[in-house]
Amino acid sequence: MKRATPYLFLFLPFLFFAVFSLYPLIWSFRLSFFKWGVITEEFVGLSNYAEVLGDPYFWKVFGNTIVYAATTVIGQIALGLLVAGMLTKIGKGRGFFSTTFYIPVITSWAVVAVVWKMMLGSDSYSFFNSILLQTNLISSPISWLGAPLTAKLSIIALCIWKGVGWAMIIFLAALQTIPERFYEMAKVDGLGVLGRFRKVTFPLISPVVGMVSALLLIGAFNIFPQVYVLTGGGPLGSTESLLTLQYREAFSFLHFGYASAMGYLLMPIILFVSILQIKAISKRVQY
Amino acid sequence: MKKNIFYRASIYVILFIIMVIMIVPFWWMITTSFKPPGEIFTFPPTIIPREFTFSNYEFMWSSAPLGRFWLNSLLIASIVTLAVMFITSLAGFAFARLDFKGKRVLFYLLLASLTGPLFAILIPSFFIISKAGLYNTYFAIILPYIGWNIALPTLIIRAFFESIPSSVGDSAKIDGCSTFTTYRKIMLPLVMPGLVTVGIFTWMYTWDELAWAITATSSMEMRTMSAGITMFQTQYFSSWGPLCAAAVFGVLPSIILYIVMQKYYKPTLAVTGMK
Repeated sequence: MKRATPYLFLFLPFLFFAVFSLYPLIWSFRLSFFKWGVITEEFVGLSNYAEVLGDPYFWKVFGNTIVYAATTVIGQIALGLLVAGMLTKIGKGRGFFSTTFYIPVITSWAVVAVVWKMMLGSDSYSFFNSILLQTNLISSPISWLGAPLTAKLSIIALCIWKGVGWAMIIFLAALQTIPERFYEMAKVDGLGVLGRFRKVTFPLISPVVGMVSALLLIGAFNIFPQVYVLTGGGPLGSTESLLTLQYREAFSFLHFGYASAMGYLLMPIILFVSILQIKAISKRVQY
Repeated sequence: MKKNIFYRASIYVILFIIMVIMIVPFWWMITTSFKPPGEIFTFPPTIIPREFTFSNYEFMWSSAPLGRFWLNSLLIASIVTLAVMFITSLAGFAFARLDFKGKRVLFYLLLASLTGPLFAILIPSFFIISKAGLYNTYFAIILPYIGWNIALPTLIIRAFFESIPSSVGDSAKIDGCSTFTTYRKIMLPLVMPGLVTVGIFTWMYTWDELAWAITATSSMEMRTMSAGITMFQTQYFSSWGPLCAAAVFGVLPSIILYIVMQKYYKPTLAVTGMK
């Protein structure tokens, strides 16, 4: 093997990687210390960071993100575990059900969000209103995306609906590795359904739950299309996510320095979660 | 052991209800796409269209640029997927089977980039594309998509190359195969499942991506499905019929790919083999 051969293999991959990932990452880090004008740029030190941290709207959006993270992660984990658990209890139809539950996962966010936006319309003939009106649960149509609380709930519901199949598939695979004799032993010991879950199932799949939670948490910090399509961040910023804010600051207001600083402020959180996730993966369960 | 019939039946009932919830938006989308406008805006909505019409599909393909969005996405997704499969297989092979100076540094560079703030990358990429004069062209979307799908796919494909026993590489060397021949003729066929996994992962990413697609293009003719349908619905929000027809086309390739390639749909992090 010639000494240059490995580098010939790496040339093309690293060319693309350097131009569109590495260089932009370094550039935007530099940009976060500058005030950017169309022709001029001025070094401003940490003032972009100070501006982000001193902006009450940023903290409101950060609060939204915490709400999204808590509700969607817990919702997807709990429902995913429940459904996966039920699927291990049935013989016929397991493949069919898991395939169908996975369909929302594979479809594109923007398309699904546009469909949901129509279904969440404020008129009586739009899907959600018409069902609730026909079952007499409400007396007049609700403007789902027009009020802060219902708008936020709509986005949370969409996130869980789209993501739960993903968690379920991973949990199903994990549950199927647990030997049946463990449950029989637990039954002999007189443990009920809940006891078996607490003493057998959960300890054995907890590394997987950890990994899934970490990935879902990162996902919650990256909420973009669902908010961009459904509400655009409104009403009154009640559904704004970190990425829709960052996107608007950068490409509508051309606050490139501010937007970059925001990205790098969030990096320690993502990094921390990633490390947790790698820890969770490397933790092996011994039978 | 005999299981309680009531217990099993109730599980099936709950699973069926959940299935209905998962399917209902698609059912609504498909039926609405075949309804004439008069029937779409009625209360209560019809579960099955009383009157079938293809006019929404005709509108989508002729009067509105919705069909063009779909073809754009198909073109872009195919090119990006093939390019990423080829390019990352080169890197994956080098990291798994070759020894060279700087291997660790380059590898950790890839790994570190995965935790970088994704959105901060958009801004400099926008400058790069504009300076290169590529703004509002197919290249403006295709090239960065390839660049952003190097790190994770390389990690995935590397794990597949590593799982090949070292004796395979040794015997190829004894037979006098060059490194490139070993890669192309011997190793590549063995990592086909890995390549398909990477391909599906990249295809789904490309089909789904929204933020860059709306940043890198300005004219309707250049929009991808994600970007186009998002833009279209802000302008023509009451065109439910054509929007639903476009949405059906928007999810169709994903669902067909999923059904055909089902055994390769594994959650990505399970296959990187990182310890």
